[in-house]
Amino acid sequence: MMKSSVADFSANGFCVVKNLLCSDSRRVITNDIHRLVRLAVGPKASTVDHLDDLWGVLEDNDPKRKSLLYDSLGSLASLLKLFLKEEITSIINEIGGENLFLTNPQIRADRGCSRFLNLHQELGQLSYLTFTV
Amino acid sequence: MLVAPGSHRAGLAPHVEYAKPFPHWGVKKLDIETSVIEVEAGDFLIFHPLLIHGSPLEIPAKNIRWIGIARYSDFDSAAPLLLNESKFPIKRTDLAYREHFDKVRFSDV
Repeated sequence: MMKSSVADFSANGFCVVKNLLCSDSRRVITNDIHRLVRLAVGPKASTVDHLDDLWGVLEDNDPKRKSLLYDSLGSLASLLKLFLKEEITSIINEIGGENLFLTNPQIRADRGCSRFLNLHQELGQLSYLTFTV
Repeated sequence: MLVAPGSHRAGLAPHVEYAKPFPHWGVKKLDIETSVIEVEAGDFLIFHPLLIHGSPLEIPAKNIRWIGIARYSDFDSAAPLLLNESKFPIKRTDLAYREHFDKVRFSDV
């Protein structure tokens, strides 16, 4: 897997590593997000269960709080742990060398036209050589 | 997600600001051959900073798409200019990328 990922990356500028995160690991992160969003929504959360719906309640009723929460989600311990997993850092290091450090983890929640972005390059990062995962 | 495979090897592409559907930066030349990358839950996509990529409008978007994003930066290529001049990130980055990838000195730009 490692060799083919690095070869794909070199040729195309990207690679996809399939099934790196099992459903149990995904569930840990999703549960963390769910719990935080539920806390942020407050009493109204008792009538809503699905994460997307909870997020919608927050968007509609308290966009400022939603924005604060959005910024905080990137600091979830489970997310940081995920991006520091050996399975992913070993590939990243093989591609970009040993001098890489993890920056700016974030959770994105995109819907509708907020997903749209014209073609672009990933400029404005902390380093000229910044690999996005 | 749309990508232009191999575009990272062509270096920095000129960017302009687009106004719709909201203000954002994109490459000036949009008629580039692209491919769609489809990923499923649990997959990881890793890409180079100079890979031209974007998200098309035509996504059935009833539900929210939740994704985790991280960036791994090369310590030796840190860009201190960008930290202090975030008001003009693209312009500064443009110069910085030229410096780094094309070996053009700032005094020559």
